[in-house]
Amino acid sequence: QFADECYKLNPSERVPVLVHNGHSICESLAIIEYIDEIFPGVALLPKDPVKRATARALALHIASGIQPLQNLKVMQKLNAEEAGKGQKWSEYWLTAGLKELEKMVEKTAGRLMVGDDVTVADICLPSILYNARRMGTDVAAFPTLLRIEKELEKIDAFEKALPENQPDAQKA
Amino acid sequence: VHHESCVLSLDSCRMSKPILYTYWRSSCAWRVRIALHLKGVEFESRPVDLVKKSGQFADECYKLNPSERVPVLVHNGHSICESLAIIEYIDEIFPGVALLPKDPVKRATARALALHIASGIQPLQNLKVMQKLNAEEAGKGQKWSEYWLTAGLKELEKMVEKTAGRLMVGDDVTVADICLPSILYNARRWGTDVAAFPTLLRIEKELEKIDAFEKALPENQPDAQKA
Repeated sequence: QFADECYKLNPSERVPVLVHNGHSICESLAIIEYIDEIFPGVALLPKDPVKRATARALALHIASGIQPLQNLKVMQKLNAEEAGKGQKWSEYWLTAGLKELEKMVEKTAGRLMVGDDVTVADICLPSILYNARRMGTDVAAFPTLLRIEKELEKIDAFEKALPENQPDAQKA
Repeated sequence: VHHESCVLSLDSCRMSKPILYTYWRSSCAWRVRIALHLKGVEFESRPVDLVKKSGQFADECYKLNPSERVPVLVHNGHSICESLAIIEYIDEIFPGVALLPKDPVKRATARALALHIASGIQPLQNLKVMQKLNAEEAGKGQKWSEYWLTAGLKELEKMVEKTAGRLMVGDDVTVADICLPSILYNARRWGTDVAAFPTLLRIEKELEKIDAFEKALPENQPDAQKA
C-alpha cells in the first residue's frame, strides 16, 4: 500500500518523502532544511554563514559524494552484472569518501562534527558508518568519526531513529 | 594562500573579493560560477586542471580540499567546498537576486530538484568514477554515465513537468536552474538522447538568454580547451 503511494509522489521511486500540509517534499537534505525552517526547537544548522556552509559541505560530502555511489539501485545494477560486485564497489567508495571526511572533520570538529552542537553534518554520519560496516570498510581508520558517532549515540533523537528501532525493522 | 581572520563588519566582509578554484567544464564549479555571476560578484578564477592534476593552483586547491575537487570558494580567509553549500553561502552573504524562493515549500522544491541532479545523477558520472571504470575496461565509463544520466534525467523531466513555470520552479531563477545546464552538457557528451526531455530543453533555452548563464559556460572560461 505505502509503496504505491510513495512511488506516485516520487518518480525516482525512493524514500524519504515527507508529506506535510498537502505538499510532498523529496530529497533528505531538502526535507531537513524544510524541517529546520518550519518547526521550532533546536537549530539543525549554525547561525554563522561560514559554519552553516561547513555543516552543509560535510553533509553533502556524505549525501552526494559517498552515499549515491553505494545506494540500492547502483548495487543492484552491479550485482546483476556479477555477484558480489556491488559490495566491492561500495566498499571502495565508502573507504575513499570516509578517508576524506575524516581529514575534513579533524579540522572542523569540536565535540561534534562542526563545533559542539548538532548540525545536519552529524545527522548524516550514523547511516554512512552503518553502511561502511555493512560493506566491509575498516572504520577503525576513522577515529574522529567514531568518537563523534559515540557522542551522537547518547542523544535520544539519534537512538529513536536507528534502523533496528523502526516498525519495519527486519531481524538480521 | 594567505588567510586573515575577518574582524570587519558584514558589509566589509562582502566586499572582500572571493577566489574560486574552478575547472572549465567541471559541472560543480560551473554551478558556482552561475551563482556568482547572478549576484554580480566579482571573483578571481584559479583554474585547476583536474585531468592532469598539476600546476600551482592544483596544489593550493588540494591543500584546501582533501577530496581534491573543485569548486573551492575562498572568501575572507575561509574556504568552502561543495557546490550547493557554496551556493547557499553566496545567497546568504551577497545582496542581489535571490537564488532560492522565499516560500518554504518552494524552497524545498528548488533544493530537491538541485539535489536530484547534484547528488542523484552527477556523482554517478563524475571524473573519478569514470576514470575507475575506464581503467577496468575502455569505454565502460561512458556506458555507465550514459545509463545514469538517462535514468536520472527521465525522472527529472517528470518532476519538472509538475513544478515548472517559465523556469524549473515557477518563473524565477533558483538553485535548481543553476544545476541544469551542466547536467545536460554531460548528457550530450556521453551520448544521452536529450530530445526525450522537452521540458528540460525548453528551460535550458530560457536560461541561455540570461547573461550570468552565458558568462559561466565552459567555453567562456580562461582555461577552456578547444574541442
